[in-house]
Parts: sequence; C-alpha cells; structure tokens
Amino acid sequence: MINDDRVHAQGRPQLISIENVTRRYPNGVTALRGVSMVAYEGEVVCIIGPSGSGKSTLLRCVNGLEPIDSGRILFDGRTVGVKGRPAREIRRHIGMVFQSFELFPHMSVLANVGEGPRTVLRLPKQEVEQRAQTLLERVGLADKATSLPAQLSGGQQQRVAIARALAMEPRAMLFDEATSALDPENIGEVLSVMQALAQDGMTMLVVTHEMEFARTVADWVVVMDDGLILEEGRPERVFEDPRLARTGEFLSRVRKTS
Amino acid sequence: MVVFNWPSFWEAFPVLAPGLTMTIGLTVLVMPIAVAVGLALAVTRLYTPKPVARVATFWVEVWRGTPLLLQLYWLYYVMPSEFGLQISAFTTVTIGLVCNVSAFLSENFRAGISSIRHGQRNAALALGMSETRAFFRVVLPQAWSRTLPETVNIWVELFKETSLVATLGVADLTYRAMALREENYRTLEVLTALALYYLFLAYPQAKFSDWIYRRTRTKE
Repeated sequence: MINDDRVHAQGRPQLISIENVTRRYPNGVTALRGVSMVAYEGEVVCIIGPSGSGKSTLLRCVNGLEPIDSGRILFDGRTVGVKGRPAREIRRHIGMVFQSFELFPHMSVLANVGEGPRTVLRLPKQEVEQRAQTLLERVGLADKATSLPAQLSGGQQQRVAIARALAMEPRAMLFDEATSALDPENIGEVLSVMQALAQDGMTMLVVTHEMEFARTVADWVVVMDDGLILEEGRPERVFEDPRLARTGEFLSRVRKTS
Repeated sequence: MVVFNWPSFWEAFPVLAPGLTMTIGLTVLVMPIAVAVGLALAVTRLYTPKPVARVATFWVEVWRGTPLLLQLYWLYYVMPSEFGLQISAFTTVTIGLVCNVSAFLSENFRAGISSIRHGQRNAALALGMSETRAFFRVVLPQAWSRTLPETVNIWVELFKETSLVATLGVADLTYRAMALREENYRTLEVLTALALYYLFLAYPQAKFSDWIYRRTRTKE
C-alpha cells in the first residue's frame, strides 16, 4: 500500500480552494462540469490529463481570467472575481505563466520583468530596476536585460516570463503548460527554474504534460478528464497505482509517447 | 504643339509659394485630430456594446464610401442652408478632412488592435493591470507600430487630397495655381509647377513611409 496521505499539508492553510466549479463556453462547449480541489500554502499541485480535459480553463478561472458559471473559487479566503478592483487585487498576488510566454514584444527583457512593479505596484524606478535585475539573475538571464524578447530562445523567453510573474512577489504561481511550446532542448532549463521555485516553498498550480516533473516535484497530483477530476493523490500513488482504469489508460498513453 | 514657356514656369513658383502654408498647415492640423478620432472610433467599434459599435461602423462606412469632394460640398452648402450652421470655408474643410481621414484611420487601427493576440491582454491582466491600462500599455503600443506604415500612407494621401479644398476657395497651393492660370492662361506651365510642388513635398514623405515600413518589418 502506497502512502496517499496529504500529510505534507497538515496544519497549513488552504490558499486556493475550488468548489464545485462549472464553466460552459458561449459556443456551448462545457469545459468544467463541477470541479472541486484545494491547494494548501506551499504546496505544488500538478494537474494532468488529456488535451481538452479542462485543465487550462480551470487554471484561468483561478485568477479570474475566465468567468465561472457556478460554484466558487477562493483565494486566501476571498472570492475570485472577473472584473473590477477586487479581481485585480487578487490577481496581483497570483503569478501566471502561459504556454506561449506572452512577453511584451515592444519592451526590453528588463522592462518586461519590471512592468508589474512599475505600473501596478507603482514602485520607484530604481527599485523596479533593481528588483527586475535580481530576478533575471535568479533565472540565469542577467546578461539579457537589454535584449528584446524576440532575440531570445523559447526557453529563455519562458524564464523571463517566470521572472516577470515573480516580480509581483506573488503568493501563488499558475503554470499553464509552460513547456509545451518549447523545443525539447529548452524544456529542461524551464523545468529546473520551476523546480527551484517549488523548493523555495512557492505555492504552485502546474498544468503540465511533463509526467516526470509531476512525479518528482509535485506534492499532489490531480488527474482531469472531460471537465471532471478523475482522481487525485500523492504522485507515487497516482502513477504507480491509479484507482481508475481511465487514469491508467491516460498514463500508459503518455508513457508510450514520451 | 504648345511651346513650353520657361519664364512663366519659373514665375509660377513664387506666386504659388504662399499656398504652401495652407497645404502643409491643413495636413499638420488635420492629421493629429484624425488620429485621435480614428482611434476613438476603432475603440468604440471593438469594445462597446453592439448598438453603439454599429453606429460607429455606420458612420465610418459613410465617410469611407463617399467621395471627399462630395463630402466637402455637402458640408459647405448643405449644413448652412438646411441646419443654419454658418461656418467658414476653412473650418468646413478641416471638419470634412478630419471625418474622412479618421474613417480610414479607424479601419486601420481596428485591424491593428484585433491583430494583437488575446494572450497579450491576459498577460497584462494577470499582472494585476486594469483593462484600460492593459490596453494602453500593452495592446495599443503594439497595434500602433504594426499600423504605422499604413498610417503614414494615409498621411501622404491626406497631403495630396488637401488640394480639393481649393474648390471651396481655401487658398492652398492648388487654389493659387488655379488663380494664376486664370490670370495668365499658362495652364501647362502653372500646372507643371504645381505638380512639382506636390511631388517634391510628397516624395520625402513616401520615402519616410517606406523606411517606417522596413523598420517595423524587421522588428517583428
């Protein structure tokens, strides 16, 4: 019997709590059919599952980029909204990293990282640049400060995007298939930045197809399919002893291709 | 065969010269206003509720779909007689040119703004920016540089089309040329001189437009 307790989270507060959330797109497609899950402070939760299972939609709902139709999402006890000041107030505490990086192409790397502190936190210029420079060092790109995003490789761009999110000093980070758009040789550098972040105790919600990352870095794994959570548990348990046949099928399909 | 009268040709230049101020002045006055109005129209069409957006679209199509000369005449003759609005010829042509040029600019801006990936806005919102701030910090600067070549083209077009204001008696280059021609009957010489004025002024602008186009292309 493999240990499937969430002991690592004992005594920690729930930072993100998703309660029976549904989401139906205007085009009629139902992306989420009643999803409930929790991320405790300092926990790394990996969300895995086949394409179109609702993982990315769920992630966008967590910081209110995507509205929900029913249920609710709490961040640190506050309800996550889509519009207005309360929604922005929550978003600034949640960093997000996108599949396609979404760096601002008209700004230097340093300006990208400093954009949040400058325009949202309104910190003085010197502090902004100092913070941005420190973060670029942390992701190993201090020498690229004056480059434009287009001059960097995909892996470098994604590391800048992580630094940009961290510049807001968020309490949680959302990763939406952060390595899916990368060339294979660039994936490792991004994953190791994410791993270092996890070791620093950052609360992370990671939608990923990188099973090795989920297995070794996650504290908790959530398996989604067709807008529902199939099962969740410790990575060892989910990967070695999936409860449902569908989880097993998905995992063996992924193993074959990777 | 008409003989080209060189003295009349050379004499035409100083006579036309005072019209330069009006031609260039109108362009310089109309363009910034038209850019602001065009941007406002584009934003209205993209971000406001459907009924409002439709009104803006209709407005744009009216100004894009009718000839500028007709628009200027309409404003000049119909507005005072039907609505009792007495406005000077200069004000009339300024309004007409702004309406016409802003319609074309709005189409340009609208396409530019729509071409910016939705993910850019999301990335800005995820940092905690408001929709407005995300638009001005992230979406608009990219749309602006993407549409700049066409904006400069429209500027050059405007510069040439200001010649239509002569028909309402606004004393630009063309008006001076027409007046001189009626005086000395040297149509060939006067109109050639006029053409050279436009050409020499428009050419650097066209080159500038090409340069901007190359620059924006290499940046992306």
